[in-house]
Formats: sequence, C-alpha cells, structure tokens
Amino acid sequence: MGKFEIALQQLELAQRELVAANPSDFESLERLGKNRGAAINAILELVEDTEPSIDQLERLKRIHLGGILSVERIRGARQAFREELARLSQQGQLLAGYQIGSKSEASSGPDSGSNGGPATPS
Amino acid sequence: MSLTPLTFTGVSKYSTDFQTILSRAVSIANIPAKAIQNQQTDLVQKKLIVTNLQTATTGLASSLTALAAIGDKRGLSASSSDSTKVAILTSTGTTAASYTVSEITSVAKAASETSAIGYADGSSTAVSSTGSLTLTLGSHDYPITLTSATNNLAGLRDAINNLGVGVTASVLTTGTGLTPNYLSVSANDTGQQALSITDDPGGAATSLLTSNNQGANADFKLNGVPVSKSSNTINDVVPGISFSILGTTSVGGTVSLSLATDRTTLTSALQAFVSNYNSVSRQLDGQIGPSAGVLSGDFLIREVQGDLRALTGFQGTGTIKNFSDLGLEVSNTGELSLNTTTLNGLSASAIDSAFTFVGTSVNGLGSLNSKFTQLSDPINGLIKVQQDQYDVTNTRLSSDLANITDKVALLQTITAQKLQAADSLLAQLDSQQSVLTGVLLSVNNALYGSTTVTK
Repeated sequence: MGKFEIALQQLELAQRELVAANPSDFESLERLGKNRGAAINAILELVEDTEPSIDQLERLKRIHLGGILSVERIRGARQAFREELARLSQQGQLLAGYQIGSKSEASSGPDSGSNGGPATPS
Repeated sequence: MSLTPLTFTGVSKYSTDFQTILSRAVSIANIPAKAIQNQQTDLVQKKLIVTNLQTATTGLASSLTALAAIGDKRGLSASSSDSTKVAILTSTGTTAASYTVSEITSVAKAASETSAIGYADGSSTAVSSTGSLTLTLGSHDYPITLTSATNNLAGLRDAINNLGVGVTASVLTTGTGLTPNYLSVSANDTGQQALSITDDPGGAATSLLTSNNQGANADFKLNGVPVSKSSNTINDVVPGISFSILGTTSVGGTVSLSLATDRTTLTSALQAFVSNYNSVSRQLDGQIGPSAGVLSGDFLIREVQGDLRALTGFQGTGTIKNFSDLGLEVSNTGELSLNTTTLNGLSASAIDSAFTFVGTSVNGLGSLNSKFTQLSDPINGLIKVQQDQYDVTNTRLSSDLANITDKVALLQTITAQKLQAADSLLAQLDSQQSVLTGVLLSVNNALYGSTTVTK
C-alpha cells in the first residue's frame, strides 16, 4: 500500500469522525477538525510525487463534498446559537434598561420611562 | 504544485455580525422579567396613590379636629373693642360674657437706672469707697464686695450679673467728657419695685444710681374694680380670657372685652372640612367603578369609603340631626358642599345645637377624626403599614430581577463563547476545503490534463 493510499485512508477516517460528531459540540469539532487538517496536509505533501488513481480521485471528491456538508451542518448549529445570543442580548438590554428606569422612577415618579433606553448588556 | 497553506488566525469573519446583535435596539420580548417589571410598575403606582390618600386623610382628620375644638368651646370667641389698648391673647371660656376695662393709667414696665455720675475709666476708676456695696431690688438686699482689682465699673457690672437675682447690669460709654462711662442696671421683669445700689452701706451709705425709673405696674379697672399687676399679661383676672395691656386710656375711655358665639369660625371650619372631605373622595373615585385604578377592591379603599360614609351618615340628637340640617349637602356624584344660606339662617338655639352636633374630640362628629388618624398616622397608621408592605414587595421583586439579570448575563457569555468557537471552527474548515480544492485540481490535472473540478 502506497504512502498516498495510507494518507488518504487517514483522511477518510478523520472525515468520518468529523461527520459523526455532534455539530453543536464546537470544542470536539475543533479537535477533529485539526486531525482532518493534519491529514489534508499529509495528502498535500504527497500529491506532487504521486500518480493517484481514478478511484483515489473519486474518494478525494467524496471527502471534499463531505466537507462541504459538514460545514453547512456546523453553520446551521452556529445559527441556532446566534439566535439564542440575540434573544439573550435582548433580555439583557431590557433588564439593564428597566433597572435604570426603575432608579429614575424612584426619584421622579411613575411617569418616567419604565422601559429605559438602549443599554449595553452586562 | 503551489497551494495556499492552512491558516487559523482566530479572527472570526462573523465578529461584526456578533457586534450587530449586541448593539441592536429591540422591542419588548416575551421574557419572565417583564412580569416582574409590570408588578413593580404597579407597586409604584399603588404607593403614589396611597401616599396621596394619606395626605388627604390627614387633612380631613385635621379639619375634624378643628371642628371638635370649635364645638368644645361652643363657638365662643373673645374680642376687644380696642386692640391697641387691650389685646386678646387666648380664649378658653365656654360661657358667653362681657367685661369693661377702664382707666388704664399705667402700662407695666421694668425698673431701670443708671449711675448718678460718670467714671473716667470703666476698668480702673474706683466706684466704691470701701469695696462694700448693697444691691436693693424690691424688698431684697444683696451684698456685693469688690476687691482692689474689681473696684471699677466692669467689676461691679460682673458682680451684679453674677448674683443672678433678676437684674442685668452693663457699662454705657457715652464718649463725651472726661467721665464718659456709666453703669446701667435694669430689672429683668416688669413691675414697680425699688432698684438701687448703696456704697458703703454700713457707713456713708451713698446711693450710686439715679432714681428716675423704679418700674411701674399695669393699673386699670375691670368692671370698675381697681387692678394693679406687675405684668401687662393679665391671665388671672377674667376666667377664660387672657389679655395684654398695651396702652393707657384717655380720661373716661373704656375698652370692652367680650366672649361671644362667632358663627364665622364654624363656617370657616365647615368649609375646610368640605374641602378636605372632597379631596379624600376624589382619591377614592379613581379606584372605584369600571375605570378603577390599580387599587380597585383594595381593603384600604373600602376602609376609607366606609369612614366617609360614617361621616355623611352621622346622626345628632338635637335640632341639628344630620349634615343636611347644618347645610352640608352631598351631590349625586358624592361631592360635598356647604350651603351657607342654610347655615346662616340657623337660629341661635339651632346654632347651639350645631355645636353639639359638631361635638368635641370624644363625642359628636368631631370624635370621628380618630377613624382618619388611624388611617393616616405616619408611624403606625394603616396607610403607612400598606406603604411598608409595598416597599418589602418591591425589594423582593428587585432581587428577583437582579437574579434574572445575572443569569442572562452568564448565559450571554457562554453563548458568545460558543459562537466564537463555531466561527473559529468554520474558518478552519473553510481553509481545509480550499486546500482540498487545490489537491483535487492538481490530481484531476494529472489524470485528465484538465482543471475542472467539482466544487
């Protein structure tokens, strides 16, 4: 078995592990992504001195496509966190604004703005 | 083959997006904190309302107390026909009466004398031949001994003042002549009495002071009976009236003092009562009915409502039996008003009954003031208790809100970290895909001589 085939199998293994991982577990994915990056670097070093087969080319294409799919899945998971952060940010702004408003009300009466203005979340 | 190396700078291309989320102005979201905020807003409104109610009920209690005071004195008020000669100070009488003050020949004044001669120096010229002197005030003699160091005007002044016998001494400096310094001695109280200083009382017995003003009593006649008082404030001659003698009368001049019923005091007190009643009533109006405020159905509102009904429904036992008899009218909207035509039209006996209706602090309408002081007492009144409860609740809600705020902040931090980890990962994978694309191009070219590759 040639060096290129070994490197390609390692890349396929790294790819499978990446696909199998939870797309929201970014810490684990970071580690798996580095393994995949190392396998890609190994392929990169060998590709100039190797004559890959058509089968190997097809396998590389599948890895490439699998990577695109993984990226999309991770982007989807990221989007969920982004929305959660937006919601928390809204809550933080409202709470901070209300607390400022409450202090103002305590000194000037109930007609003061109870919703407060935009505030930086703490 | 030359490809772009893998790079992981750690700089997220989504960081600007992240900042946009943080700084975005947002509308109210459906979050648990909103319920707490609403409760706090309600509490602020409730506290404001009960505070206004406290002010209003305090005013009503005060006006009832004033009515009770008038009823207690049967509306009697003292007056003087010439307040420049005789002024009424206080009046506590409960029986109508009149008195004549005549022949005010003297207004009380304090004895006050100065030294018969002047002295060259106030702090060194000797004032006594022996250092032994006697101060005489009224029928009392007070010995004074001056040493060689204190035998001067200042020393004598200090010695007199230190006696503490109701006399004040001071040194006057005229600035004229060779002996410009004089001693001034004045009694602290008004009234005719001897005031003198005798030098060497056991020997030469020289008088040091003039004898120009030995004080004076207030001398007058009350109903023809001579009266002489050391003070101008006369509070032990006429029962229920305290007055002050301010000036002498001309020959034959008289001043009349009278203690008589004064309807205007009752009218004024009833008008104040009406105004304060309506203040309380208006406070209640906002919390009763279909458009009631945040205190709708609150026990405090019901309590005050009941107390107002107790007022308007109060029943007397004499000619004046109720509000209407006194000219107090309640409109369909609950507004109270005073019909002065009805009040002014009351006979003398009806007015007397009106004072009975108004009562005192322990009976009659006036006694109902306790109902309102129980509400408005600033220390342990019902309203104060309610305000304190609002404060306790508000503090608890603020604490809840602070806890929620802390939790949200923590979640924000954690989520932001997740997002940054995702950005870093995506950047890493994007870079890997670029390298893979390069590898595919290279392999494809080697096999087919073409650069076409599936992206």
